[in-house]
Amino acid sequence: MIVAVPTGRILKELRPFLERAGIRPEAEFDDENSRALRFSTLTPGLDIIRVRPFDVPTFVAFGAAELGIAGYDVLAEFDYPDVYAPLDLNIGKCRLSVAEPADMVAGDDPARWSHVRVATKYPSITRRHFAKRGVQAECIKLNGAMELAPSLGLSQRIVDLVSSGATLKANGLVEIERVMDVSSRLIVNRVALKTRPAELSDWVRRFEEASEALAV
Amino acid sequence: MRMPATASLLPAGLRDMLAAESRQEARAVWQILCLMQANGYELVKPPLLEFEDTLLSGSGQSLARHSFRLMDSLSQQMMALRADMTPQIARVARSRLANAPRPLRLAYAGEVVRISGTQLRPERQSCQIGCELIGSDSIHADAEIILLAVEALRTIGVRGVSVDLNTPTLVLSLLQSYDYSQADADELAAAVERRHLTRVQRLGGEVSAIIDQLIACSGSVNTALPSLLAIGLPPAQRTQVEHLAAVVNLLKTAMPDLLLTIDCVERRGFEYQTGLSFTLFAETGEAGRGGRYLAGNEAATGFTLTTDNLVGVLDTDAPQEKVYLPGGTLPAIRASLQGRGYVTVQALEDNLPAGSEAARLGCRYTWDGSDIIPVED
Repeated sequence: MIVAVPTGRILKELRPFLERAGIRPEAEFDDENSRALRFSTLTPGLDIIRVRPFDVPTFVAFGAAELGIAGYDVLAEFDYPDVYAPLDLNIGKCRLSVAEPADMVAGDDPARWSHVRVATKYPSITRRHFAKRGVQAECIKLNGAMELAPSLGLSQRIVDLVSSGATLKANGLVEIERVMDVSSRLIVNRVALKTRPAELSDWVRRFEEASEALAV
Repeated sequence: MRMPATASLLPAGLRDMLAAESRQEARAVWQILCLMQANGYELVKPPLLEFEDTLLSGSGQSLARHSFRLMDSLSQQMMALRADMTPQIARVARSRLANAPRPLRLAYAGEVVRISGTQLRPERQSCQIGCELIGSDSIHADAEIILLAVEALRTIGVRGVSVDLNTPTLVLSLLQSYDYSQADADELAAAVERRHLTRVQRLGGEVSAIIDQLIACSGSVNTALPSLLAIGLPPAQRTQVEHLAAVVNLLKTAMPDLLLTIDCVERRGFEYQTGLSFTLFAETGEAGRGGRYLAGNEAATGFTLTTDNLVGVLDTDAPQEKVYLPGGTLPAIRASLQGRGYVTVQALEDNLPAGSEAARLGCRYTWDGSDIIPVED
């Protein structure tokens, strides 16, 4: 059994959940400089892997990991049918929003759009979001520094994660529309849940209890 | 002799199957068809192409976006290439076999093609094997089909078969009975299916509580079924759950060792299902699916297996030993060796040394005129 966890900022918030759920990784796991990707835990037969946040759903969808923790933004972007998200851990909270330059907002009438060009890390969500209201979104896929796109003429609008809004402000951008709320979810591989129901449900239950205990 | 590599490139999702896999597939198909035939299912073989209007109507509607089309220059009508054979079987049952006695039991195997694969299952062509039981809404029909599907998988050597029982119409009909529009209900049911619980909780009220309980009632049948029956459901949904429970009883009696799980909120892949449905799992992944649908206006149920899920899971059989036969070997000798389980390879040129020719062609034996002798390495 393998649990996939995202590297980066979520991992710090996630650490107490793992502990509470009874997943105690070897010491090297907490060493940020460690080059290892796969770690053993105190539970025999349970290993933990550290992968990039965008890769967690892929590992779980293909059954390379049975359990994982992934942001709702990434889950919605890939929309794998073989990934279940049974539990909201209520950590890593932020939102996915559309933003544009502050000086553009006054003269902009979204009702007149038929086509927009958007720089984003989430082309699939963005296309779906705009298609719902009859607007075709031409997405420029970037992996970071979306906020630079409007000022450098790459695209006027961006769709990106917003938590405090400070980064947007610093770059002269204004949040004009919320696409979705984001938080981290526990995810489970569908086949594993069906073929090993007792074992997997037990892990989901442990995370549920951890989540309740930590929410208080 | 070798052609340029680029000339052998195939379109995405399509591939050449060579000896070991093709043999595995052919054998699996044959064994399953024999099993179905032995259980009273008659073989039928509909064509690869049909008029778009016929193939993609009724239960075929949901296949419209998966099916390739081409123009029939004779009739000037659009034709579609089948992406699933089940609607074809339903059509045969309603037309050529409309007067055949019910329940009608039909089996089939054939190639199906779809426009795009998924990331998890990129194959665009696969061999579909299935059987349909048309004209009965009895719980015994449900049980017969599920048991036959499990037996089919076991027959071809799939290990660790389990069955996930589903009621794909339950959540949708529940939401509609609470006055959600078709579009809203669809979107919500999709969220429910992926266990996006926050989306469900936002609904609030009685329906959210019921759906919460339904989601909680998934897993092994022994724990899930009693709690499922304890949920206070409206009468229409209650009937569906009781039907499920009755079928579970039949399955447990017939195959006590079968791992059964329940998932009342699963809907994906059940676009045309109208009642109790199921997904077949092997240890390695999904192996097939089936369930209730309407063949015209007749109650029907059936299952389909696709070989791309199966080949690779199966044990590879040891290939039969080959015997190299020199020119002039009598047909009777060939037949007798084949009867003993050998594959024979007939020499086409008389003047080549038998030993080295045999080794070159992968034969471990040659025929010396009276018996087989091993080829020296």
